[in-house]
Amino acid sequence: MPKVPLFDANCCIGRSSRRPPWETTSVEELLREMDYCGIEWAMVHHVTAMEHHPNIGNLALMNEIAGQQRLVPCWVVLPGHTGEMPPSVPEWRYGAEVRHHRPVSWMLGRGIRAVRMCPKLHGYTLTPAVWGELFTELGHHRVPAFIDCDQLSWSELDTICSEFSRVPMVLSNTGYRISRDLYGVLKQHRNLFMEISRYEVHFGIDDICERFGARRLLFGTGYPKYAPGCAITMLACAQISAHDKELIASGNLRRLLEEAT
Amino acid sequence: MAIDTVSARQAVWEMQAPIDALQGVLVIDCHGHIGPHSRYYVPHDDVDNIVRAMDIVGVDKLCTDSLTALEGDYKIGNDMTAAAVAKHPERLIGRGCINPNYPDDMEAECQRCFEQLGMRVMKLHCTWHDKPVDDPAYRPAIEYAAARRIPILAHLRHEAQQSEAYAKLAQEFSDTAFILAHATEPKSLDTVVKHCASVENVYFDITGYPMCFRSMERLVGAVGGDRVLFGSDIAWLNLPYELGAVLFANISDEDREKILGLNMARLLGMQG
Repeated sequence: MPKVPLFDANCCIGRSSRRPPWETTSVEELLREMDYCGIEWAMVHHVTAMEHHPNIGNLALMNEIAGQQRLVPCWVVLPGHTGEMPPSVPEWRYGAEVRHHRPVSWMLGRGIRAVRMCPKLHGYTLTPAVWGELFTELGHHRVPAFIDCDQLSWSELDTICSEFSRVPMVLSNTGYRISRDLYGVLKQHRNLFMEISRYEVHFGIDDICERFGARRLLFGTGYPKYAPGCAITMLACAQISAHDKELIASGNLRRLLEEAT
Repeated sequence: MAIDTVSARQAVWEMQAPIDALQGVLVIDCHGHIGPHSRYYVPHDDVDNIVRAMDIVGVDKLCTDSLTALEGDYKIGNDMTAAAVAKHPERLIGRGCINPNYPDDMEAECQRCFEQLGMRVMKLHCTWHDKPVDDPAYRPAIEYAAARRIPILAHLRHEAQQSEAYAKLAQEFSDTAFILAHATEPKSLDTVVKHCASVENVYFDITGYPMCFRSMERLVGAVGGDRVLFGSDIAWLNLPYELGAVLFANISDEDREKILGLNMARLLGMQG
């Protein structure tokens, strides 16, 4: 049988100020690990954009992955009201068009088709008053928004999914203890998806596919914090159809990114 | 038969379970649980579906207990473990759970588990039972296991903080295997290795944290392949997920085979 292409929805590069050295990764190390584990493409964000500031980290990301066809950038974003995110930031950081008033279309023009949010790390809440403008634009362009499970409450997720139903919300780094909450919000919101790197639940993928359909799940590894072989083997062994495995392995993420226009 | 790691990984890349590549390779999962959990939902957590998961990936045997024995009334749980093993005696090996909060029961429950119910591994859960492993309340059970060379598997209250005490117990009872569960917890790994690497009857169970990047390679590099044991925490966790950490680890195939089953077979006195 042919190899099924894998598109990793959850990779991080960069040198962390806090992470131990074995979790630090350069583009070269990431590509080597992707080759070792048979991963075709990866969507990446930069650790500096998470643990420090998105403007510094996003720019580092673009510099470090420049010219790499297998790596897709994912920017970490902040609420727009403080003027910290492009296009309001100084021109020397991002080049021309710094006064553009539609940040999402500005990002799309630079090949950014997915964003990541870190409300707890970056000190804000996911209330509509804070996020309304950006979520409205994300929804207009159908740009998926990734968020780690420990960065928001289930009620915040429920509210955001309800009020901005055109935004594909992707829950990532979930852990295995969430199903009682997860099933409720998956049932309620068809715009909610989940990346599987830490959903290491016994027959968990099988159960979600049966209840909600395979289109809700995205393959991810959580590299470099987690070893990619774990999530790959979990998906390979799931008792679901070959078609569903292909959707999870790469089809669903490709579809979401293609729909972001 | 030697493990065919290349074929195992190729099967995974083709989105197939690596069962053909594991044919003839002894795989023993040293760490499983049966039944529901208080804090979260696990689908298909019954014993038949646990054996089904073992069949999918090619796990020969599973050392297991009932979660009820850890979270609930441990006597009821030990009965549930025994019933599960009786249903699949060729595949399951019972772990008898001892609860130090009921010291008056301890000797009788040890006798019941290991002399009547046929269990072969003793389980201590220092977190749920809220007692450090060197608490005197455990002493009668540890002495009972040591006298019969029953392997002890302990979930310490904190891997790093308690590993030194565990190593001292192992040194005191040097003919008994002391298995340290969740040994690859990344923040504890260096401390666990520091205290336990030189104690030859301490074994390292990778359950729960093999996914942490390079933890397998770090552990095997530090203690060698002879004392590392494969465990999955099924049905708490996903068996193929944990198996994938071993299949894709950058270690020798000789060590991989030992970790997957040969080491645990030796502890259980099985023919390899």
